Amino acid sequence: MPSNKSVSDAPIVQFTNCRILRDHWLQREDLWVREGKILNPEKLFFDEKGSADVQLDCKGSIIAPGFIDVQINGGFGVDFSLATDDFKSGIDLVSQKILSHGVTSFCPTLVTSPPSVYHQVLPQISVRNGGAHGAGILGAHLEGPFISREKKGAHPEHCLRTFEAGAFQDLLNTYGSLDCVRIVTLAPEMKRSSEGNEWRDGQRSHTLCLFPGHSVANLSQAEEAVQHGATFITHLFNAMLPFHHRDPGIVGLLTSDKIPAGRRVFYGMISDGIHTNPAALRIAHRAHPKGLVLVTDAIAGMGLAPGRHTLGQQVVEIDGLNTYIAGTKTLSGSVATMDTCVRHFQEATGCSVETALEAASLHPAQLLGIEHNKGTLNYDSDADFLMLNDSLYVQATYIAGQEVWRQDASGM
Amino acid sequence: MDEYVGLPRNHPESYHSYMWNNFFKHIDIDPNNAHILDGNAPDLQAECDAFEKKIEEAGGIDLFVGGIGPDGHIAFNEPGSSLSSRTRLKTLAMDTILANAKYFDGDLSKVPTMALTVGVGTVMDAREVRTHLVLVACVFSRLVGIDTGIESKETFVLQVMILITGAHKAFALYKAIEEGVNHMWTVSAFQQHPRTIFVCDEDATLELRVKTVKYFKGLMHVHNKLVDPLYSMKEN
Repeated sequence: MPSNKSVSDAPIVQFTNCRILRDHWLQREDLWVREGKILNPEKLFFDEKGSADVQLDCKGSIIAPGFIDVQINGGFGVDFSLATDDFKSGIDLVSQKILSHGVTSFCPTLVTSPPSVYHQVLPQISVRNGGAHGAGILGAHLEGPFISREKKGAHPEHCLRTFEAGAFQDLLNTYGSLDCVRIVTLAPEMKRSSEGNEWRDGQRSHTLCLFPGHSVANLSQAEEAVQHGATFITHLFNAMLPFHHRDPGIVGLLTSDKIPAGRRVFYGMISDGIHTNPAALRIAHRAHPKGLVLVTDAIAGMGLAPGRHTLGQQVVEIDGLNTYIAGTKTLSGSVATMDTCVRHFQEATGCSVETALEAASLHPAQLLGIEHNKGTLNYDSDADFLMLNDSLYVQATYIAGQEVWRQDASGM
Repeated sequence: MDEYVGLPRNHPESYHSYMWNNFFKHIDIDPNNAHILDGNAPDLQAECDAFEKKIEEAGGIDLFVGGIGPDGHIAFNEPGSSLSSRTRLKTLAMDTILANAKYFDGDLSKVPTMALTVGVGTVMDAREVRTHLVLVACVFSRLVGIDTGIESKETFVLQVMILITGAHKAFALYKAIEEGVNHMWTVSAFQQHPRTIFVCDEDATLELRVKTVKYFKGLMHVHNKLVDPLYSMKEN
């Protein structure tokens, strides 16, 4: 193949013999990549008179955008809520290992912790691009401590806080630096919690998102939070009031008519088969399919053998796919991997392959407002993608057009 | 052989898109050998003249493939076009606009009203070809020049191949081959071309005389006998 003649001398790679997920359906098309971005081959042909330098036969694989996990507390023995000396190498390890699950970008999540933990850990998390070293970090997700006492779930009670004392200043003091923080989950019904939005709006370039979760808010309080800018419900159904036909609570946001025009409410689902009954998963999906975002909520024990592990200040016990606070039946995170969640979601809802893949890629990207760059295979977006077989098992992971993980022949 | 004027090049209905999606992206052609008229060029007549020049520089056209419109036009040489016309800007006839509306959500106001097109004279040109330009068009009135560098055994005469399918083209086919050469049915000009093939399906022959259709079908039988004596033996 003649190489391209253009303003760029970078090699052009053409992935052929594949089906790509674009415009919400799997099409038989080639994927073209140059300089870490998806390339428009028609433009290349007519404008630059260019052609591919390398052609790779994908042997009929599905090519989908890389998965984005916005709620992951750790894995492989690493706990993001524990301020250890080798925290940095821990986060590197997780970001490298999750490549095999198809995750190309993630938000390391910290559960409710004492301020000292935040002050030590947050400065060590930096927003960075992915690559051979691991998945990209989009920013930290802070789940708590400004959450409801009644719906704390697995979060340690002694670390919970309110805004009563110093309003939003309290939040800033608790966390210390908010530079690398992308998402904060808090209970919107708490007094003075709305001041957070004013603070956030006052920061010109900050991309902080405040999301309701671990809360006993009723529907109106939740709708108010949405009107103030909230766009995501942290793990729907879990740690919130159950749906009631006269007060649907936060769950009612899925079909609320008070969502401002042009906005969409997204909701996280841990589709490991344990956190949510498949019937409930189907109800949510059918009520609001475009808002569903798959998250793992994985904890340190993910990827390890069953037994005891830590989750911040707590000890949890893993038994098969279930993870409980040691000695109780309170669910605390999961050990599911993102690709398992995608497969389970597809099986439980009977949805199309495209829908299942978008729930883990396009929707989280839309949630974070980065869909022009991530979460799709549109021209000029980042070339973070996966090769999967028809059963949605990840065969290879690519970040910025480079292969960063491949399933080896032995099936490891 | 043509392109709409004023339509963005990456519009799904532009002929650039059509050629890319239906032809170029499936083959390994060198992009430098693909030439399509630019309907957004600042000076449209200059663009047409340049296209004629490219054809001349390549030594002429070896193979021209196209279709016809229901009004018997070849490329966008609408009824009334001069039979000695060259590449130029043409306003589209209402028939053509109506036929194209289905590609533009049925909205007549969205259909382009002008196009650049090769002329009838451009295609009728038969000249000595010294180099090996193969000008290949795709079906249904789209023409593009491609230099594949293939050795052409026929070095002097242009070959014209027109593809006509469907009952809605039947009347145009009738006018093209059973009536005289007429600038109101521009494809009829090819009656005067030394080497023309019209490829049709049954439906397209619906307006022809039974005698004409039987004659051409009979030719196939004779052809088969000539190429494969065994075949004709099996027939008997």
